[in-house]
Amino acid sequence: MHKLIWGFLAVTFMIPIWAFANQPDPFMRTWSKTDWVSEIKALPIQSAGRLKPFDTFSREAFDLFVGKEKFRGKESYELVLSILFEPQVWQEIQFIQISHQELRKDLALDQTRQLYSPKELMHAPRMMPLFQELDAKQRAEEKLDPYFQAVLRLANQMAFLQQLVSGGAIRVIPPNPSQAMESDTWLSFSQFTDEQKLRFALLPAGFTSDKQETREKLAEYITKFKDLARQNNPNLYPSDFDMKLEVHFNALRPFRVAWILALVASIFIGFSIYGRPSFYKFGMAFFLVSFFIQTYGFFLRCWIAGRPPVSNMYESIIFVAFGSMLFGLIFELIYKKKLIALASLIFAVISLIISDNVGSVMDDGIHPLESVLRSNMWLTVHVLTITLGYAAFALSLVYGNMGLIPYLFTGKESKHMGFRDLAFFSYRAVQVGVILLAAGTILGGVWADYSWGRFWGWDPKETWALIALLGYLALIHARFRGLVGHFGFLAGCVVAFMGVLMAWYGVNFVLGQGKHSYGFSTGGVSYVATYCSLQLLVIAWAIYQKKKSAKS
Amino acid sequence: MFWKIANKIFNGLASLELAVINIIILAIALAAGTIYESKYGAAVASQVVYRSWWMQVLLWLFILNLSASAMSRLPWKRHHIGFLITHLGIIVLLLGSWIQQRHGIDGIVALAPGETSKQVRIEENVLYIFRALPQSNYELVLDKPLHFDLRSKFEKTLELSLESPTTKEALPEAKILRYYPIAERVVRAEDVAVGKGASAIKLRLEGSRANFSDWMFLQELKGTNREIGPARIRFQKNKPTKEEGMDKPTLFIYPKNQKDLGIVVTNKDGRQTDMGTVVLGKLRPLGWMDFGLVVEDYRPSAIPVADYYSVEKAPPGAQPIEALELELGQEKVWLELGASAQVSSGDSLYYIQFTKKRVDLGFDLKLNRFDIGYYPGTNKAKTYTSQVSVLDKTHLISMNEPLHYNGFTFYQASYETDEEGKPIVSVLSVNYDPGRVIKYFGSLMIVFGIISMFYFKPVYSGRSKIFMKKDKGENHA
Repeated sequence: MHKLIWGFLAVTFMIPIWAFANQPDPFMRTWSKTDWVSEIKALPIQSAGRLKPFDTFSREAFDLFVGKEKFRGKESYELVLSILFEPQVWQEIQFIQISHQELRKDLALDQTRQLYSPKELMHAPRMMPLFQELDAKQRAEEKLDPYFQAVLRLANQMAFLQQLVSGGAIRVIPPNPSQAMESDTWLSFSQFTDEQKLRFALLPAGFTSDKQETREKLAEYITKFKDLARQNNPNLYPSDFDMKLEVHFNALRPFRVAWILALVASIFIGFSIYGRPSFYKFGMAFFLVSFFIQTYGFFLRCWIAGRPPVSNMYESIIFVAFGSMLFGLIFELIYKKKLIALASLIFAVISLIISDNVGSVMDDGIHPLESVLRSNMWLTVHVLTITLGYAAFALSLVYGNMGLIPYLFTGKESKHMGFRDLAFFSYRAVQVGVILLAAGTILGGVWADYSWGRFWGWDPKETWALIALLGYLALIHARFRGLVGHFGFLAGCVVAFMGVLMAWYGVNFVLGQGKHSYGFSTGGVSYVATYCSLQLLVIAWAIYQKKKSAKS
Repeated sequence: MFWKIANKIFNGLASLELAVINIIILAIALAAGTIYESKYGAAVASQVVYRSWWMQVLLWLFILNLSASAMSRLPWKRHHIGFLITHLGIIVLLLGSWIQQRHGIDGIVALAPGETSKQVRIEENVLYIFRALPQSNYELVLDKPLHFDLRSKFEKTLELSLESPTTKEALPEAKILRYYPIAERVVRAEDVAVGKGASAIKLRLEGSRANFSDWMFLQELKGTNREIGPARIRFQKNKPTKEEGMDKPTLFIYPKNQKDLGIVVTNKDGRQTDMGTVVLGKLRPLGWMDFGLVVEDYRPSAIPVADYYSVEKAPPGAQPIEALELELGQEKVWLELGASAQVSSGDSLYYIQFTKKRVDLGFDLKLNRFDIGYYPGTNKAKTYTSQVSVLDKTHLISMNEPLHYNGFTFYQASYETDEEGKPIVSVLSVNYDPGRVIKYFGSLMIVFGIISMFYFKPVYSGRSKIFMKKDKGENHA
């Protein structure tokens, strides 16, 4: 923390050698030629344990500073360059987000805004004591409450800003072979050779110059610097293809495209159920394209990360959405009932929108894995099986809710539009889910046994997976016996999914205990609680309506 | 009549209703277990829920229900295969874990590089009492596993009966008077005759970075140090010479006589900036940041005595302490978990150990070295590796790559660090699971059973006519 505080002071007092005296407005800068953009975006940089293109680096930076990847209409790569090359301008720019109201109050900041300039924060009196308190809490490994999470974010913002301004974060040249024997950390400006320094200095010169001709040469400067950087250790330098692929992934945002397409598909299919059968084809076409884009997105993400998408909440949500589309497609091909496809689409759209929009709770960045997860096939198989099981249960949840709709209004089963089939489909989905969750939980045991010689350890995550499984088993057995009918099964699917939610979300975000702690985080608890109470209300209302209609 | 009742009981045991109720109760109990764990920790949850007697009852009822329902379908037909395999698989799996629980070992070995151990520490508290024999031998007179409720303090008396394997003579009475699952230790100074104790001072340090109030006992030969960040408080026998205190800013306190203490403050260059006599109870600014020091008490000859108090939570920054008070003969003694004490009673000397249970591995395990690998350019650990040797053969143990030896599995669980964060001890988790094969077999049966049940043949087609009709109705809808 000491380092951090001194670093913070350095934000104001240290001005790197490439800083110039003029005070340009970074948001007004225009470019006559933009050929340099693709070059700078694909420039490899080492940050947070991973080699990534500058594009990803600067998106993550602005995600941290502002909470968005774009700021005042400018893309982050240009803004990060501006912070790097003309830091003095950024002292006055309000771009550091503090969204926690209490914290803003405690720091005696202007309450009408959420964004503050480094200079304003510099003069906030309570900041240092808060950082010290945070430091103490982290050392005691205490769980941070939302307030201190906000302090932590602020500390990270300041530390990262300091690293940017001092150039320490800009690790763009691989260590040469003899340095690489010592450490695999890439070099930042102060470690460059004179030649490398000169080449690098052309970048700020080109970027900040007043002369149009100089600025048009920026692309050339970047390419030349890149060649020089590569020369330092060609073996460690990533290929242009890999970098461009990640830039492409960032620009494409496949999972956003996928939910938009899925939304269109669901509208078409909705109409096809409601009297326009001819729309079905269009709907399925959009369904397929959306599914294809998701598949492509996973392919890219796996390629970039070098591992399957199993590490955090964000990845599991997009994977469950993918799984629900997959099962929906299979069921749709077998049974040809439009409601099946619609249910998958609804779930995929909702979950993809959530994952796309709550970046504060779910980090969509690609990060290196915790060491415990760096393993083998068993882990991957175990997690993917369980997540696919969640997907099947998610489908049964949507079928359950759809099937309850007629009861909500009439208290009776509807014979129209295939609503009666839903009980059967939800049963099928539960069957698929039970197999996958049972197999996945057992595979988890196999992995645990392989990895630490313990098949079952009552870890909350595995216990809750078992509880969720037990919930569905109770439901299935009740159905065998005839203890629940169509209505009971549909309602049961809705209730049993809360077990899945607890295993999937609750253990990481509410309980916060156990071995699966690498996925731990906080946030969103009130939303999930609201969702669960709404679902219970829906069921209660349906039961009430059913009782009423049975009487009459 | 008898057969009628027996038949009824059997039908009840075999019923799906019982199955549904049992499953739901199990689910609720497990859910409670996880909440317990998140509140009180894994050990309590394991004691209160997962390994409790009623969980055993529930599971046995579960097994009974499964077996009875399988029997009720006699004679079995082809369409029963999936059902039978699945449910038998569950029984086999539970049997496997029961064997593991009874006969398996689940513990840890913590080793510093170069250290050798042949014992595993397992999660069970035991109390050992040894009696000293002539010829400097010891005999074990008590080996008592302790299963106190980890949630609340125990203040009733638990009698212990000591038994000597060699003599028939009566050994002194022993009992546990108190047990605190979470205790706070407060040290006070008890005056003793001059020459029997050491000089003691009670210091209170005040400042925004650190804050404490504590006794310091003088170690005659080397003095007593207390590090506070970049500075040091040193309690020593004599007034410091000019050469002392060169390495960091130091506050020296030394006894002048039976009543007065002297004080010398040096800055980081070793220059003496302040000296004088301590006035008890008066705040003295130190000139290092905003630190102020109060010497609250001075005892020329005292010994430290620890008192224990039961608390809800360990004080911030302190390791939780588990402690018990034992009475042996006339003597009372407090023991912290992991500590030992000597007590004499009659003409014998007793040696008491309150510790985690240890189990013999049957071979020596030596840690040669321990390494942490980091993700490039970060402090985020990528790999942990312990190099160990067993019978002069070396093996590498890393995360997810355990060592299997003689039925034991050694897994890289964690590590301990010194004050500067440097790893000094590698912690390996050790498992021995005689039920492993059975569990795997049960698991395979379950998975294949479910698949064949759901996808090859409806199980209940021959039994529940009502449901069959419903099922058909759905299928044709």
